[in-house]
Amino acid sequence: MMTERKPAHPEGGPGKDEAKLISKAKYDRAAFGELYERYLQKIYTYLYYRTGNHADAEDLTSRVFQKAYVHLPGYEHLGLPFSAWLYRIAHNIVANWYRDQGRRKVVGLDEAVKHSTEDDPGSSAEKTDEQERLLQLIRKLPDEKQQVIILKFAEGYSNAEIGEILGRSEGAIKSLYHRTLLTLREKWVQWE
Amino acid sequence: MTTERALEAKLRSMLVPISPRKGYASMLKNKLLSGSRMPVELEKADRAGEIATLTTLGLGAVATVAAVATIGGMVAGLLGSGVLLLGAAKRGMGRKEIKAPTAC
Repeated sequence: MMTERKPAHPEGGPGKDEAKLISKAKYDRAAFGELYERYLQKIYTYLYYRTGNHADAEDLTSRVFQKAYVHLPGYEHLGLPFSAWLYRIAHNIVANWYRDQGRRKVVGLDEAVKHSTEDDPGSSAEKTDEQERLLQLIRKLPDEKQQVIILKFAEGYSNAEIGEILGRSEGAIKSLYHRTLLTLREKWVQWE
Repeated sequence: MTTERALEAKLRSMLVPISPRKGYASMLKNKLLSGSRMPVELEKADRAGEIATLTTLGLGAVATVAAVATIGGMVAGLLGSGVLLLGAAKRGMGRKEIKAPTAC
């Protein structure tokens, strides 16, 4: 199910409002529900591109929010966006999932393929093939590079925001992104 | 040949936000929020669980060490007894037989 791209911080960035909401969510279900609604799609998108299908993305999204619910009282708002904490939980969960399952799917992404077909039915087969290939190449990248690509393009975060999420400097992310793009391009050209 | 810009454009058009399937968001929200415990209570329970696990592991480790020590003691005891018996046997073999005095 495709949706329109939204700003990285729909709530206007991590601020006092978010800090208050997080403190309230430790004791108030409705406040946690608000946080959940704010970040569900972002976490889901991330997990969908990491797993490649809805069933696993749903399962892992559920685990992320359950873990967040349980560990929220231990969360300290140190100025970093709340999403950074959630992405870290998601990253650990997906890493453990790959380790436990011993699988790394390179098929799926049915929705993304459908999207391209709807856009331009004339060249749908070619586009679908192209898209499948590109997504396979992304999925073969190391974890950190996959994260950068997904956060940048699917989630719309800037280098600085990705740096906050991954605990790296903006410069480090810029350099990592550039290297990732070069790697992808090299592999893409080989395929072409 | 694809340039970096062209590849970026492809990535931008192909990697779009994905929404969960219909009904999933509300189902998960209900599941998360319908529990009787609040996050703070859950964390306490989680910590209690961790403490219980650590205590069990600790007691298990102590019991294992005690069992190993007991078995070690028994083995050492048996070896010690064996050595003593061997020593005693050696001494017994080396002893000269004393003949009883004969009657005149």
